[in-house]
Amino acid sequence: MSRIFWCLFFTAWPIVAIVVCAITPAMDWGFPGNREAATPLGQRIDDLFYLILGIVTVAFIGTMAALSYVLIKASKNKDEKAWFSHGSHNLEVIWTIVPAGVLLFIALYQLDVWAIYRVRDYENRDADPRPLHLVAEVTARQFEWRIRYPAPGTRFTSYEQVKDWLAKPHAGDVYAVNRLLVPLNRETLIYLKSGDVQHSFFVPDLRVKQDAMPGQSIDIWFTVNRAGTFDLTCAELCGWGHYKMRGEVEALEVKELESRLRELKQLQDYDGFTPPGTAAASGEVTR
Amino acid sequence: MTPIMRPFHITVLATLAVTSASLQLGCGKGASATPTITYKAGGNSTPVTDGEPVKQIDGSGTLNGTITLVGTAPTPAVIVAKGAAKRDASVCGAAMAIVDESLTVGTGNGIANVFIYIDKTPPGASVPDPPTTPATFDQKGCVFTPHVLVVRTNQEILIKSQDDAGHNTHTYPGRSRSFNGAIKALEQDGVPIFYTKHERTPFPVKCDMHSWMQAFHIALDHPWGTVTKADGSFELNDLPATDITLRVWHEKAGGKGGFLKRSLKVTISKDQTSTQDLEFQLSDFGL
Amino acid sequence: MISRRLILPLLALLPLGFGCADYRAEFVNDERVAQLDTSSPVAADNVRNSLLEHFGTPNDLVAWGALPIDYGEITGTVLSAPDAHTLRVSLDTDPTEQFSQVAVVLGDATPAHRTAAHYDATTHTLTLDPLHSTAPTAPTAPTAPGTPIRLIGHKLQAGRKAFMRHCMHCHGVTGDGNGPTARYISNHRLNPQPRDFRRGLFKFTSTKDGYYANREDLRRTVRQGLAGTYMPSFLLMKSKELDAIIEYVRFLAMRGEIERRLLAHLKDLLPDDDGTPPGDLKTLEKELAVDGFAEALADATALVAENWTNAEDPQNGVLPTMARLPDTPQSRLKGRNLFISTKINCAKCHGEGGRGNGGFLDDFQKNPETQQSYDTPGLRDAWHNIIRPRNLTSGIYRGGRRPLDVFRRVSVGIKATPMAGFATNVLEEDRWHIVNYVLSIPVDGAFFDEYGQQYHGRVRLFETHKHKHDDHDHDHDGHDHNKPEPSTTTTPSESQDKKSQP
Repeated sequence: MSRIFWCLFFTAWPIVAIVVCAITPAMDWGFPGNREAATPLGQRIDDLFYLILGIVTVAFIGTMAALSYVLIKASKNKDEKAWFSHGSHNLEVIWTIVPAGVLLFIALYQLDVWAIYRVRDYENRDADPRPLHLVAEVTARQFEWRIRYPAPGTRFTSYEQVKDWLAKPHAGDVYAVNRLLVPLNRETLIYLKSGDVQHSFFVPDLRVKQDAMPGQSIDIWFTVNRAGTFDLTCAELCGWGHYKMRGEVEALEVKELESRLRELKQLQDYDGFTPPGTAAASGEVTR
Repeated sequence: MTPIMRPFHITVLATLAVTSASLQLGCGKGASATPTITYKAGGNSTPVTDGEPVKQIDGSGTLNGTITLVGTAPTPAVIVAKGAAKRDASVCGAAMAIVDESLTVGTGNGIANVFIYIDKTPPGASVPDPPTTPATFDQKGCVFTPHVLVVRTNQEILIKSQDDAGHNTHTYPGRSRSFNGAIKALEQDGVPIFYTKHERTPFPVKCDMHSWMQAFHIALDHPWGTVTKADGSFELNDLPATDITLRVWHEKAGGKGGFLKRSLKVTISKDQTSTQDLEFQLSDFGL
Repeated sequence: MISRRLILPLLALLPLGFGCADYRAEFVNDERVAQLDTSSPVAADNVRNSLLEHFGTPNDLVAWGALPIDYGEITGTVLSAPDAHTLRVSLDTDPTEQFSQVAVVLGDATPAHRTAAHYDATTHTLTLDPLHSTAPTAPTAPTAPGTPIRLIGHKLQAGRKAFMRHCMHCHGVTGDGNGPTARYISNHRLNPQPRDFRRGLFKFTSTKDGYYANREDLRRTVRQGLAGTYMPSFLLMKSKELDAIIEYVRFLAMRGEIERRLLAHLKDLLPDDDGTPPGDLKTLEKELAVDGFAEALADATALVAENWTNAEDPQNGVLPTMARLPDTPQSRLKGRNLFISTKINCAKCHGEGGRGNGGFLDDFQKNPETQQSYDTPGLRDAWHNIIRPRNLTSGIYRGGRRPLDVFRRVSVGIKATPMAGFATNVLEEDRWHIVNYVLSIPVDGAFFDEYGQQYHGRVRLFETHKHKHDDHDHDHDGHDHNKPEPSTTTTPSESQDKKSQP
């Protein structure tokens, strides 16, 4: 009696898991960003995930089915003695080589994505004639994100120039907080610094995550290919306010981005003087 | 026949149930609860007058006296020796040393710089208009002159400077608006300030740039307040001929500044001069 | 066997005991109220009771009409009163959210105070909560149709809830800057403590000298944060929530200020430092705590209300009357010369290089409340904390980096700090020169050489000049290593003065 109960109990969970997996896309329980990353690299990471999910599902169903069969068959037949095996060398070889092969396949398959994400040497991009579009310096602090953009309209043509800009403040820099503006369909470079302790720059929709280490200036590259506003959260415990260290990453068409940055610069340069006879300009950040 | 659940299982499930129940009950809503709001009308809660017409006081008298110290006055400490100022040496302490003015005792052991004033206007007294001439508050050699000042509410005070160095004047009134403004070198026109509210006790006025500089002001909505001169003598004229209560205040009373005498009751008779001589011990000044 | 199995479930009851104890938010009183208890319990009780009566507790707030706070009011008319606890009403504005437990004020003449337990938007029925009625007797006559009704308090509620979630950690339940996380800030010497609202003073305002902060100033501080401090930016907070928090902050500030003024009125009843009660206690008690108390409370309330209302008046704001002068090297040089001039004395606090290490940091300031000098040298703010003049080379501007913000700092100073307003002695165009210079320091440097070229102090200093102590980042924490080097003829400040004359 109790054997049947426990058999069914342990068989039910895998079935529930498979059912949940199957209905996840319909229920929108999947990845953030409507199940689709907003960067090409993010999409490739998602594809990798689905590949691994597929492989693992096949293995899961296979092993669970075998286990269930064995349990049910054995529980019905109470008189038959158990079959004792002295081991099978062939079986051992098979079920070592096949999983190893699968894992090796996964490891090689993802090398390229990893390389793009973490390894590619961006410093020697000087050979690449495309201008480096938006560079921003983001300093993670307890519990906000302080942002510095170069003067609107600045075009960096070499990494050296970027490093120079990073090294110290420049006239015309635009300062902002918590809302990062990035261009659409352009390669974006963010330099991440920390003002105090370790933080992590995590934009789930873009599949971008990078720890901010105090004393280091770490480069993050991505290209956003979907317009919108994405959540920026801190992913490294940094203090009691870690949970509310939220920001926003807003992806805009390049022209609109430039005009927004110019607007920010204008607000930043507000001197409070209203010529008599004109309406007072607002000095506040409204958006 | 084996039971469905062994005692061990019962224990595990019971623990889970009880823990979750206690967490639900124990963690009260506390800070996230919606507060209840009660409304209290902002009524006119000033005390209602009796309704009887207040008898006008006829005539005025004079009060004079001397305030003396019993015992040997301590020699005032030298804060900045002549010519030894660390900053602005050409101005501060250039002509003479700067001494501690917190207890200045003059000839005949008279205590200078004691405030003696009526707090509230006696009912029925007619209050003369404030003087139209502004009071002057000056600074010379990095010392405020006068060290003590009594003004009327809304009487203009002109802050001047005979020093060829930057100063600031920072007032700390109890009820009026405070002032913290820089005074330019050799300010002869005077920066105007006003105390708009009647003050109950004298308050300090400091210079943040030269930390020893301190003076005391009081603003009264009537003219019956004065300070003792260098020899400890004072005179109050045109006091309403009635029973009055005077307050005697000194910046070192009790060590921290306060009333030497909180209620000095005197009867003023018409066209007559009353005299009040007061004596205080060193212990009254925390010495 | 039975008892051993019960150990685990019994242990699970532990959370009830510790940790998850029902946390009830309470306002804490100023520490002087406890001192007052020892000498005059009557006075202390009066203070506590008045605060309770006029402000309530965080779970039971009082919306007091005497204060200029927007509690959030919805007006309407009573249509009918089916029974003593239910009203059918027509409200002028549809409430956007479900509200409960707000104050209900019926009629004008002698409003009977009730609390709304529940409002049903579909049937327009308001259910009153009998338990919280503050009417002296239960109303006998049913409320007549057409009686005006006011539902007061939804904004204060929203503000209090949001404040508890976002701000209470540092600023404390009472707004005294003593929340659970505040102590982790005090370890870091250079960072200011969370603001204690109870003085009613806020540093970064747009109003003239002596005036309070207005709502826009508070909103700006919360939205932008204070760069370089532990006050983060709440840029992404919705405006409605932000406005509610601002009203609650003003509520706490006014509560604290009225408490302070009452304690100032009762000052003479406080015991001495060594605990001796004041002489003449009975007479003083009668005069201050019994006879004169109501008047003192009315006076304090009127002053507080007036100060906060005056801050909103646009006439009391600081705005320049001329546009910012062009940011040219000549303007910056003029600004530099004004900065180091001893007739203005900027450099005496901010240092010759603008690093915030000027000579005035060595002085012992006097405490304006006791007339005594503080124990350690350094500048102090109104909360008696040691503060440092701004290091202008850092590019961090707490009050904002717009030219207008820096202009305001220079013209009016920073409230509650020694930073004075220089509008009284520096003309407006000169102030713009100073603004141009100050804003250029992080980028181009604080010093000018004999050719009028701007440079960063540290870089050139090692190349051509002797080691001068004024131009380094020194801590002024009692260490002596910034004592002037034994120079033969001139003191360092004098030699710097000589150096900077063009």
